Amino acid sequence: MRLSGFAETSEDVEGTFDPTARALHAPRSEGAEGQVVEIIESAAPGIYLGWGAFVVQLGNLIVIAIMLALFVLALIVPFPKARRRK
Amino acid sequence: MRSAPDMSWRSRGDLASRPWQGRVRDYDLFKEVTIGFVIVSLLTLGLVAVLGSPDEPSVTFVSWSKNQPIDFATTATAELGRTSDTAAYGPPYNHTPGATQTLGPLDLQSMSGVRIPIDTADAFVIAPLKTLPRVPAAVATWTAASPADQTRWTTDYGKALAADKGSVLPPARSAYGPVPALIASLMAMARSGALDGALAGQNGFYNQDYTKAILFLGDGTYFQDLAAGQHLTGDQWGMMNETGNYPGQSWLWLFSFFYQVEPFASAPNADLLVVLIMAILTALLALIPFIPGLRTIPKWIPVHRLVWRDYYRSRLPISPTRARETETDISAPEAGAASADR
Amino acid sequence: MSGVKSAPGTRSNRPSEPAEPADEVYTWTGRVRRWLLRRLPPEKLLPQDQPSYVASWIYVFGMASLAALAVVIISGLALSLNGPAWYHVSSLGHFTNGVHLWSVELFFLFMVVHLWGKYWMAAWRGGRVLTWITGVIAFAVSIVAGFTGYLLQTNFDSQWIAFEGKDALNAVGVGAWFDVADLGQMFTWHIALLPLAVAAIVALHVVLVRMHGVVPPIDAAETDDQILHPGNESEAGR
Repeated sequence: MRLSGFAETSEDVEGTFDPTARALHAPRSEGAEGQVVEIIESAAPGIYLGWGAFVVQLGNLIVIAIMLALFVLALIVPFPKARRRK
Repeated sequence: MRSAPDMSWRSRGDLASRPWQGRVRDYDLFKEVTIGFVIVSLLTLGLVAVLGSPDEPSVTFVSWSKNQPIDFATTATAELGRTSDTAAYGPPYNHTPGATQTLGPLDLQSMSGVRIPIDTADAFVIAPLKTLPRVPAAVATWTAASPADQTRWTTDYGKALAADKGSVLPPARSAYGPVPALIASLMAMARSGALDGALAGQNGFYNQDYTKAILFLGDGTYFQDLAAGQHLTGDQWGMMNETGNYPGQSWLWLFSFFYQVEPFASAPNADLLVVLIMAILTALLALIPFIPGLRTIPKWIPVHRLVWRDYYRSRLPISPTRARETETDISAPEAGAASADR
Repeated sequence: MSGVKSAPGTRSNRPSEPAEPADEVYTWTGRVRRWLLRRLPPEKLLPQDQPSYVASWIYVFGMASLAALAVVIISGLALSLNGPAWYHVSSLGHFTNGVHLWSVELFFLFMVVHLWGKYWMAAWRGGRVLTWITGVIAFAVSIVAGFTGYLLQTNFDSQWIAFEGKDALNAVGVGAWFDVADLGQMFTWHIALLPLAVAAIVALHVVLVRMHGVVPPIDAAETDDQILHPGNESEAGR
């Protein structure tokens, strides 16, 4: 089972369905084909906003803000009157 | 006077319980479904086109052993010595006295028994090494040794690793027995990708079960540090978060909240406590219609007057003709019914 | 029961005779049919009108949640038919994965606003408690369905969620049978059992809404003009 080179490493491991092999060769990989780079270390972790013990991710905060905004708008925005049927 | 609060769920033959016989307006159910589906689909497609979705590649034993060799070796040694988190976890992986999360007499973790038995020394180190075409001699030395020797070797080697601030494994010494050779072989397996394969393929050809690999990864610092870097750990509201800038699971806010505060944050049975609390709160949410007070808040804080403002505005007739008709139509009013504001 | 019965074992294909009442039942099937038709006649199941008080934008969020759920299921079908590795290597797959992710976010977003609205309208009144309860159950089961979905991503996030999620499940003793690191098990839950459960609960929820009708306003009274002078606002001449 000694294997040569990294490029074939995970894919050629006999008989195992190993999705990590695909991930390493995914087009979005920053490393060149065959170079085993752990992309996670260079990925931006996202924007976090914190107030004391509360640390919320910006994406989540936006979703929550939209929920509240839609709720308020739904209550305030006038609803069309019944349309007369011809 | 009605004897029951009118926020009750009961069907009492009152106005809310009977089919509506009052004024209606046209409503096209299928048209609304179609329009709704089109709008939501377009909205979704727009979001995907602009924002995409995350896909952080998995951690592998290849990347772990290359990027943090000492952490890998330390973890592997702990697995050999059966001192890792997994080795001390208890059911369903092994029998470890006092390891389960309990709440007084309640010990749910023991309920299943050891149904996914994992002997960390064997599953994570010895068995993978035995798949090599030339099994290292150290394996035979290890399996023939007494438990006392095994413990002594792994403890001493573990101390050497803890003192190792570089990225090269400590040199072998007789005090460590076959352990350095085992760890070095395992490291080479990891770097070649064979360990990923061996852990996944322990049942032969097919496998969908990554339990062992996940547990082994989690026993190390590398995997956990990567997660912490992405704000995914329990004490970082991690349950709510997604990698990168993408929104995660904002609806798990309350579940995550408990892990941030004492007494749960440092409780050894935090998971049991939080799961039980969330189960109770969810049940309470479902049972709100039965809970006086909670079910009456919508009446005390009249958000509904915004929802139905058109209805409330036109419920009383304005024209004198209608006013006269209404007066003669009113029979002896039901107690409380005549007053619109209660 | 009056009326002419057909000869046993034969079907009556004569035009309906006035002497044979349509609701005469003498079988289990007939009894169930009668019960269903009484609780939910066709005009209630598929109405052409609704009460005039259903006139607020808050009412669209139930339908929006359903629409989002439909997109979730369709995109999920595409993903599962192509296997779990597809979206890592195909740009169409990656796009489909994005559709699945964002439709889930929208589903929960709309469902939460729907929940808030229904609470402030006290929508459980008038015997509608089962509608409320099935709604909460749908919410809870959807969360579990989403959790199993995250486990199927076959990337770093799913590794971490499996590692963390196992603790909650092991703490309550079910981790042995619900192994979050077992892709095979999680597939069965996520693409078969849980979608069926969500669909069944949501269908029941919607049928209950059709059966009971939309809850009238709090403090609506028999003396309201809308009740004393009913009719259809959409008809010409009102």
